[in-house]
Amino acid sequence: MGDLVLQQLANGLSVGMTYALIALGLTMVFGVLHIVNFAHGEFYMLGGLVTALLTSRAGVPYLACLPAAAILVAAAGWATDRLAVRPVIGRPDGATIVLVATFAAGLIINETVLATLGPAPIRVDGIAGVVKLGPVSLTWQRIFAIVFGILLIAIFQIILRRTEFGRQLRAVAQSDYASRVIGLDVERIKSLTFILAACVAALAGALIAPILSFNAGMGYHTAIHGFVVVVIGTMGSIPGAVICGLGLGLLESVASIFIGQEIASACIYALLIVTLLFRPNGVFSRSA
Amino acid sequence: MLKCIDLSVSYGPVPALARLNLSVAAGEVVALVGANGAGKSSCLKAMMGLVPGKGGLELDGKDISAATTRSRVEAGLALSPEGRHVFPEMSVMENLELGCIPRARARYHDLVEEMLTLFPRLRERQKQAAGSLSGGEQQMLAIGRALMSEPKVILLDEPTLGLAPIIVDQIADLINDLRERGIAVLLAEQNAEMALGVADTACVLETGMLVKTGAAREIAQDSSVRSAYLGAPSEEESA
Ligand SMILES: Nc1ncnc2c1ncn2[C@@H]1O[C@H](COP(=O)(O)OP(=O)(O)OP(=O)(O)O)[C@@H](O)[C@H]1O
Ligand SMILES: [Mg+2]
Repeated sequence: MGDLVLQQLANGLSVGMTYALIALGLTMVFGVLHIVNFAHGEFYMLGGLVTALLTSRAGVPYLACLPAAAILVAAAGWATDRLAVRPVIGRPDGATIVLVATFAAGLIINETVLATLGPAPIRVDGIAGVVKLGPVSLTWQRIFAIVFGILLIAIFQIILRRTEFGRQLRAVAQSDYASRVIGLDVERIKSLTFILAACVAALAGALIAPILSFNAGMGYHTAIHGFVVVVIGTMGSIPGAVICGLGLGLLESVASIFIGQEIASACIYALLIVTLLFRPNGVFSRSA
Repeated sequence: MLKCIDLSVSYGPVPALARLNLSVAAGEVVALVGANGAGKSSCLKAMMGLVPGKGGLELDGKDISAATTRSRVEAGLALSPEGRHVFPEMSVMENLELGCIPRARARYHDLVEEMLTLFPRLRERQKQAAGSLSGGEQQMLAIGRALMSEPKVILLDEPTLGLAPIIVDQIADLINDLRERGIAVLLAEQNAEMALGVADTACVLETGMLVKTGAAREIAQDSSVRSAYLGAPSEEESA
């Protein structure tokens, strides 16, 4: 039993990493653009799709698929921003209309993939091999997903804290108006943030595809988990997104030993409601 | 240096600013005085391109009326906005850094040093979050952030609002200092006493219209201005 829990913890870490990466993008888009991006999960799915198609149909080595997924999905992010976000965001009810517009964009992406490839999962060959650590055996792919995820989060922190773009991004997150006053190109910074978030989601999709297989519905499921993570971890908080993402992956994975996957998911939504009742701004907010 | 020609702003049917003509020369301080809602902030925002305005705007003889805020800042215009609007969760240093635009980048270290000398209170609080500064310190940071772009013209919107008299005096000293450096200053103030005391030229706005303009010292003596904004009759009348 103890071994099983350990094994599930190890598995949960890699899945949790994808939740963390998804939530990171969502929370950043929320913090900087002040919108909720309902198409976000489809960027994750597209990342998985690029990896699945390139490895299975074109024989491209897995590691070469990661930059390809990031670049192609950046283009999808750019188009979504141009067509579904920018034109509506400035309107009086912009933040609400954007919900519907990004939801529509997500559906279009999803239905297009579903119509072309069908719902059947596609197996993706990632990094082969298994490592045994005492009672726990982990595939190299899972280890890679965890390490690469940590690396991405670290790079992200460096961009945010150490680069001029990062400083400008934080400026826009704190005050749109003040950023305009000092002459920052606020629209450009917002678009870049949106695209960067799409890239991170795509990489998360590319990391998980060899573990869980690709299917067109993967974005939907994970995005909902991403939203839960972002709300529990406080909208706009990056540490909140990362810690709650990992926590959720671990919790879900261990709980599924005892109560099954579906009920474990239901418990997580219950946790969301409890959080909203007692800490409406999330666990990582400065004021409750 | 800065010249606006028939500058108008309206947010709907009612104009907030109607066909304003004014100019500020290098080393000149122009005060824009008027009651709440007179259109002072609208004027400064339109000059920065933060709200849409109609009419001409020239900086150094170049037309900038169609330019983005970004290129106006690059061209040498800077604003310290009403309500300060510092970046609350960033340190004093980071706020100053953000004010330093590409054109001024090469002089970044000199500029920071200059600001910290100009505002010694900020030097002591370099690492402190701007949101936790006192109102006066935030005001100084907002002005410092604007000066980090090495502007030719600085627009100050209500820099003394809610500040203690001693800080108001410091800000007046600072404005005199800016004048000596040859910067053009446009000062929007409800504190007419301070504004007319420090300015060379004054413009009085009423519901978006320029009703009086002239040497600040003369405007300060004008009986209608005195009763409306200075809370006292003119010296001639009381004499
Ligand atoms: N964003 C806006 N939308 C609609 N009306 C506005 C807007 N901003 C200002 N106004 C209106 O324009 C007029 C001028 O406002 P403005 O802020 O320029 O005045 P002000 O002289 O700066 O006043 P104060 O001394 O109170 O700062 C006011 O009647 C105000 O209600
Ligand atoms: Mg005002």
